[in-house]
Amino acid sequence: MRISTSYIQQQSVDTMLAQQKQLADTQLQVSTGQRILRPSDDPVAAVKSLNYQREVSINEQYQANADVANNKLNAAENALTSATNIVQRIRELAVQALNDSNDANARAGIAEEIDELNKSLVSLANTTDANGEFLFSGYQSFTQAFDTTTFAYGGDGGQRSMRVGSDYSVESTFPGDELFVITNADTTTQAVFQTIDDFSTALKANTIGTAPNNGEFLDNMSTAIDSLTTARTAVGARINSIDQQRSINEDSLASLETSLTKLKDLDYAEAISRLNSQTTGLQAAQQAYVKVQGLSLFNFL
Amino acid sequence: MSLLGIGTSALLTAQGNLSTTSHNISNVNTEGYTRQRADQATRTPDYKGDMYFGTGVQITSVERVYDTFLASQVRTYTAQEAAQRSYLSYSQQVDDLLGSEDLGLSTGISEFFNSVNEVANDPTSIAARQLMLTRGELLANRFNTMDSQLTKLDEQVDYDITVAIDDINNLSKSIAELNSAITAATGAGGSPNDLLDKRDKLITDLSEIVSVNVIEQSNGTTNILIGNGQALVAGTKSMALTTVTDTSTSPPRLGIGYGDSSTNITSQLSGGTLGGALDFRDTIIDDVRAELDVLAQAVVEGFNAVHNNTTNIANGGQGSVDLDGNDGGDFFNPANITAATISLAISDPRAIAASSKFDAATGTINISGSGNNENALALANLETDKTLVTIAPGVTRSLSEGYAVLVSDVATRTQQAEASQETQLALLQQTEQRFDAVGGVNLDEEAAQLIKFQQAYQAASQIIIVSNTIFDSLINAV
Repeated sequence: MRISTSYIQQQSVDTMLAQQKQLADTQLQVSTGQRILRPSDDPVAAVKSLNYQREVSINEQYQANADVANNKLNAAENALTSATNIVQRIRELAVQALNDSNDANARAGIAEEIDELNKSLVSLANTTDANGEFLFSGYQSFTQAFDTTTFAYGGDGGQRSMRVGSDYSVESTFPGDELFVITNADTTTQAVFQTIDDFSTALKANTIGTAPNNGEFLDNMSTAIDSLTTARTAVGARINSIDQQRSINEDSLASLETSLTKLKDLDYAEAISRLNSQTTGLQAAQQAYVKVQGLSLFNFL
Repeated sequence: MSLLGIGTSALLTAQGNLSTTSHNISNVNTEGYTRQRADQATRTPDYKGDMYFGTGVQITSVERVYDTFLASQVRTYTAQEAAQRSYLSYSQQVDDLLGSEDLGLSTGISEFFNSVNEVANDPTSIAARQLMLTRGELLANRFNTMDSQLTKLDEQVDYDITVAIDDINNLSKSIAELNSAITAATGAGGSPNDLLDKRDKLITDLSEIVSVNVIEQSNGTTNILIGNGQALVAGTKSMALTTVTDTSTSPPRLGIGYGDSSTNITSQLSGGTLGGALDFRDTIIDDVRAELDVLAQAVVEGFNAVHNNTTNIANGGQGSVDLDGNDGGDFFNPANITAATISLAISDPRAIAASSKFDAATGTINISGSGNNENALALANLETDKTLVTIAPGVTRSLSEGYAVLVSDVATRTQQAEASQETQLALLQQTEQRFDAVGGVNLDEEAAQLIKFQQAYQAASQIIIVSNTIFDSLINAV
C-alpha cells in the first residue's frame, strides 16, 4: 500500500502529540499525588470518595462534640466531688455538734463553720462553665440554679444532649434539682442547703435534739451524700462511654482515611515507572521522526 | 507522419507529465490537494497502403486520483468526531466544576452542618450562631455560583452557535461559487481538478461544524443538505442560516433558523462541533440545572420545616424558639427556590431557632430555656436524613447522596464521551489514511516519475536530433 508523504509526517506528529498528552497527565498525577484529577477519570471512585469525605467530616464533628461534652462533664464531676466532700465534712461537724459534751458556745462555733461550708456548697451548685452558663440549671442556662438565700431551684429539668456517635447521644448536663434537692427522713423534700441551714440555725439557738435536727440530720446528710455519689458515678460512666465512643470514632476515621487514600492517592511506584516508559516512548517517537523524515529519493537525484 | 512530428508529440507528452509531477511535488503540503495523473495514449495512426503507421503519443486527460466513497466516509467520521470532541470539552468543564473542592457543594454541605452541630453544643453562643449563618450563606453561595457557571456555559454555547452559523454561511456561499466555476470549466471541457479539490476541502470543513448530506449532480455541481433535508447549497445558490431566539426556555437561548421565515431547525441538526454543543446543552446543562434546583429546594424546605415553629409543630415536633424566646421563622428564603436564588431569610444570629418550644416530657411550654439545644440537634440530624431529597415519588436520598449521584451522572457521561471521542478519532484517522493512500502525494513516487519522464524527454530530444540528421544527409545528397 502506498502512503502519502504528508500522511507519514502527520501520523508521526499525531503520535508524538498523543504521547505528550499521556506524559502530561502522568506528570500532573505525580505532581499532585492524586490518582483522580477529575470525577470522570473514575466516576465510581469519585463518588465513593465524596461519600467517605462526608463520613470523615461527620466523624470529626462527633469528636468535636465529644470534646465539648467531656469538658462539661468534667466540670460537673469536679463540682460534684467537691460538693460530696463538703457534705461529708458537714456531717462530721454535725456528729461533733450533736455530742452532748458541747456547750452552746462550741455549737455556735461549729454552726459558723457549717454556714461557711454551706455557702461553698451553694456556690458549687451554681458553678458556671467557660461560656458563663450555669452547669446545674437545666435549660435555664443564664438563671442561677439555686437562690443563695431562699435556696429555691431556679432551673428546669432539661438535660443538654450531644451527638457523639452515629447512634449515640450523651447528656452533658445535670439538672440541679435531681442532685441537690433530696427527700428527708420526715418525707419533706427540699434543697440540701435548706436542711443544713435549718440545722445551723438550731445549733446557734442550741435547740438541737428534736427531729429533724437530731440524729435524723445525719441520716439526711447521708442521703445527700448518696445522691451526689450516685450522680458522680453517672458522670463517670458518661465520661467513660464518651471515651469509648471516641475510640470507635477514631477507628472509623482511620479506616475511612485508609479507604480514601486507596481511592484517591497515587501509587507512586506505578506512576513513576509509567512516567519513565512514557518518556522513553516519546523519545523513541521523536528519534524515529527525525530518521524517517530524512529519507527521500530526492537526496540521490 | 514525419519523424519530427512524432518526436515533438513525445516531447510535449513528457513535458505534460513532468509538469503534472511538478504540480504534485509543489502541492505536497497543500491541504485538501489530491494527486493528479496525466493519462497518455497513442495518437491516431496513419493508414498508408495496407499498413497503419503510429504517429506518436498524446496526453488525453489530467485526472485526480480520488475515491468518492472514502471521501464521504471521511466526512461522516469528521462530523462524528467533532461532535464528541466539542461535547467532551464542555462536559469536562461541568465535571471539573462539580468535582472541585472549592466550588462543589460537597464541602459546603459538610461545613454548614458542622456549624449547626456547634450551635447544638453551645446554643447560647452568639459566635457559634454567627458561624452557622455565615456557613449557611456560603452554602447558598455555592449553589448560586454553580448555577451562574452553568449559565455562563449556556451563554458560551449561544456564542458558539453564532460563530458556527457565520462559518456555515461563509462556507456554503463559497461552495456555491465553486459550483458555478466548476460548471463553467466542465462546459469548456476537461476536469477542473484543483477547483474540485477546493470544493471537497470546503465540504469537509463544513462537516466539522455540522453533519451534511452531499449529492453530486450530473452537471458537476454538488448539493449540500443539512438536518432533515434542508438545502444549504443547491447548484449555484446557497441559503443562509440565521440565529433565532428560543423563548421556550428560561433564560431564552439561541436556536438555528432556516429559510426566509427563519424556521427553527435546531432539533434537526446533529454532528459537528455545533451538534456536540447542542447535545451538551440539551443533556448536561438542563439536567444538572434541574437536579441542582431539586437539591436547593430540598435544603430550603427540609431546613425550614424544622426551623420554623409552625411547620415544626405541624410535623409533630416540639416547636421551635430562638434565643430570645420568639417563635422560630424560616432560615432560608422560602419564595421561588432555585439554585440561582437560594438565600438566607435571617441575618440576626439570635434568630436561629436552636431551642424547642415544649418540654418533650411534660408538654409544657419551655420557652425561657435558652440552653435548650433540642431543635439545633434536630437540624443537625438533617445532614444524614435519607428522606430529605425526593428524586421521584417514593425515591428519596440524603442531601450529600443526592449531590454524589449528580456528580457521578456527569462524570459517567463525560467518561463515555471521552471513550467514544477516542473511538471516533481512531476511525477517522484510519479512514483518512485509506483516503490519503489513494489520493495523497508521495514524494519518492513523484521523484521516480520525475526521473522516468526526464528520460522520456531526453529520448524524445534524440528523435528530433535524428530527424534533423537524416534531413541534413538528404539535403547534402542533393
